[in-house]
Parts: sequence; structure tokens; C-alpha cells
Amino acid sequence: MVEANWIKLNIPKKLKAIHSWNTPYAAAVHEGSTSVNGSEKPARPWVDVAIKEYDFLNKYADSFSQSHNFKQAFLEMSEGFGENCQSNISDTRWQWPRTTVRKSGAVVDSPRDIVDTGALKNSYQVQYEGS
Amino acid sequence: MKVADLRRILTALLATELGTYTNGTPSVWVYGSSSQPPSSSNGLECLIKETPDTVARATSAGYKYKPQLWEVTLRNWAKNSNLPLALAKIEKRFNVSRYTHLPAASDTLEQSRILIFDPIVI
Repeated sequence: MVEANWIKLNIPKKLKAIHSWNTPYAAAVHEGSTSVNGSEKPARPWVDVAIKEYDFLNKYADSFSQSHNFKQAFLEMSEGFGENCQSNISDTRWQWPRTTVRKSGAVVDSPRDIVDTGALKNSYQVQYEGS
Repeated sequence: MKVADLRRILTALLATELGTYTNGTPSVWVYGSSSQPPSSSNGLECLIKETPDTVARATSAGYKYKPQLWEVTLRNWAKNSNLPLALAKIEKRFNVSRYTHLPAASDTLEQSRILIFDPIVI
């Protein structure tokens, strides 16, 4: 006789992570913008780049193999993604067409990071919905 | 779809919304090389990235699946409603994977970045 012992795993049905950067200019930095006089600010899409570079599947699998908990694996994957986005803001990887003086007084060239006053990076929030 | 096809389709699709460059041509521009548009536009401008974003994936029988994403940016040099009208037309005509919209501000133009999903098998 074969006996199967099933481990009952709790599968979250509608779990959502909302990563946001809440400054009035965050979208313009991410998407790039053109001023009314025609000068352009290139896009610095730190989230899109993280989506491309972050290995969601393996992070989830690694976490799940240790915790055997779907929700925990999702939270850890999400946390790692957020850290990746924040690193992208701090990394000197963004092209810029000219030298500029930042509000902080620093003179910056290209490539550069996206940290001037730090307000954008510090505005990061992650919110979870569902269970 | 090739970039020339995308340009041709968008130029025809947005014929009534597009502004013109100072040389009188509709303001549609393919970018990615060093060349710049001939001037700023007097209305809605459509910028198409020369190469789509893609990673080819091998499938069976030697074919490759390429889920291409074309990046199109609309920017409105005039204060009119042509950008949302153009965006609606693009959404009806293409498989739009995602778009973002930045309203006009005191010092920046209204702008929308659109990713068009165009998978091919090679």
C-alpha cells in the first residue's frame, strides 16, 4: 500500500506589491522630459532597468526552497526588487548630455547617479495588498 | 514589423493629430543614431526608437521567438488635446504593452511613452 503525505501549503491568491517613489518629479526623471524651450532631460528609468535585470523567477525559487512558504518567497522577491531599484538610483550609470551643477552644489558629468538632494531615493515606499 | 513600417503606419494613423517641423513635414522622427529632428514641432511630435527592445529565445526546429517592444514617445509642443487623441488611436491600432503619461507642467511639455508589443518568429 502506498501512502502519500501531503504538505498543506498556503497559497496566497491576490498578493500585490506596490513600489512607489513619491516626489512630484519622479515620473519626469524616470520617463525623461522636454522643457518648453526645447532642452531635453534624458530618461533615467531606474524601475524599467530593474525589471529587465532582476531575476524574479530565481529569487522567488531560492527563497521558496528555503522557507517553503509562497507568501514569504513573494515578499523576499519583492524586497530584492526594491533594493535593486534603489541601487539603480545610486549607481553611476545614467548618461547625461552636459555637465551640470546640482542643488547640492556638486558638479556632475556623465555617466551619473540620480541622487541630488536624496529626496527621490528617500521617498521610496513599498506597500503590500492582499494575503 | 520594421521601423519603416511602424513609421509609415503611425504617420498615416496620426495624420490629423501630428504637427509639422519647420520644413513642412509631419513631425515623426526615428531616433537612435546621432541625427536630430530638423526642428522643434509646432504641435504633436512622434518619436520612434530605431531598434526595438528584444531578446530572442530559441524554440524548437531552429526557430527563434522575439517578443519585440517598440518604444514610441509622443510629445505635445502645443497646448491642445491631440496627445490623448493620438494615444487612443495607437491603443486601438496596436497591441500596447504599457504607456506612461506626463501632463504638461509650467516648464515641461506633455509627453507619453508607449511600448508596442510586436512579437515575431525568425
